[in-house]
Amino acid sequence: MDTMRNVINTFARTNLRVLPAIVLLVTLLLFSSCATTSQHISSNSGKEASYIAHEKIIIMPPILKYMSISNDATLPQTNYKGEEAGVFLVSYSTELLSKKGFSVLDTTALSEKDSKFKTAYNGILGERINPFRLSSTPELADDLKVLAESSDNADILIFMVRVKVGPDGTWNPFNGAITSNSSYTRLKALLVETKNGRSLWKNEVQLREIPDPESSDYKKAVKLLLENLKTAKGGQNVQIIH
Amino acid sequence: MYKLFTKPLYRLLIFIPFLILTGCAVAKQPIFLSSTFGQEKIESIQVLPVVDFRFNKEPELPELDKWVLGEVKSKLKRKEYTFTIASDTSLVDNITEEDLQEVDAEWVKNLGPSDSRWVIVIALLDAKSNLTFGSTGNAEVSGYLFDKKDGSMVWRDKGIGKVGQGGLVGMLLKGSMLRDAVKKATVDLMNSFPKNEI
Repeated sequence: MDTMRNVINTFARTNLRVLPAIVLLVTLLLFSSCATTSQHISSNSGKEASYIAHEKIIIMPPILKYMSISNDATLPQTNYKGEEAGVFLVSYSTELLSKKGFSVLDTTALSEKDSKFKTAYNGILGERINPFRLSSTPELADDLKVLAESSDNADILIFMVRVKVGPDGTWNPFNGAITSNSSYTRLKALLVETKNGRSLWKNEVQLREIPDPESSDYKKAVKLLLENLKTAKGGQNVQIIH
Repeated sequence: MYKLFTKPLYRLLIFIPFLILTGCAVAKQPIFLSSTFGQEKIESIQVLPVVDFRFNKEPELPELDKWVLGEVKSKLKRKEYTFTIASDTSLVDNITEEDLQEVDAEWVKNLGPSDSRWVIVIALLDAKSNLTFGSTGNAEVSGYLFDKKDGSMVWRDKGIGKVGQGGLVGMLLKGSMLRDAVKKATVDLMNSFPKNEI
């Protein structure tokens, strides 16, 4: 009987000593299980697919803008692998669109073959100050028409990437104050019908980091950006956004 | 220690560095301040409801105007302005980010109530809160003062708010992080708003 009592007492004493640690651990586990972090990658579009009639697409070189979050000052792309992020955006989009059944045209080959195409293509590159107000200048509309004629009415896909660069997270060991990373990226895509400058489709995705071509989150963000863009094979209705 | 402090020499030694440091403090400069500012007295400013430019506008912030405009009010009072706060959200319904990035004089002239001349627009660009081993909040706001008489922008700046606390205390404070970050960003923004000196 005494042995039994001793065993119980020893057990109780040991557990009382580790009780605060257990309580702390359980609380931490509870908190982390209901952790609601702000979404790292999010999209503005619905799940509904947009079906595009034309299968030919010209991907324009993306417009990347890096800005300081504190004063909107333009920052050099080279400091943040901007060029690589742009190259990845085009190559991965080409891969994704090809898998969806689109035919992504080779603009270098077309420019070498057709001087009219080259002039119009370069004109669009030079004129597109704000691609989301694309059809606002007559010069741009003319260039788009030339592009339509020399590319068998291919649509053009424009990407605009705006990166807000802010300070990284911090931890102050003296008072326990912490802050989190404040950089974020907004990726916008717009598909324009060349023969009349109409917007066919657009989408926007936010990524809570600076785009890094080697990051899986950037890859996921690009995939999400193009997710609801589909070819109209099979007779689906074409959705047009004005 | 107390005896030392009562001696005039030691008092001087303590107060001189303090005076030097306060003298060195530089007021925050805005991103843009028109050269015409200060040439004419600003009789009254109309402050419009806050424009929410957050990506997908989640979570909902029903008290956003209260958080932001509360800080704007107190700063404008301190800077000796007369102002009115508009509560009609339809005044800002059609404002887009592009409108504020590429300001058009005709657009400015039609901004806010027709009888107003000086108009302040505050936009919330981003706000987030995180829960990890503690919690954090980040917010980014931008502000504009327009003169509707000639359709010009007079002042423009940005404010950033970063707050956070580690540990269990920080975790318990998660609910207030977003509000604190937005308020802090607004204070940071309004710090560069020029004083009414005419």
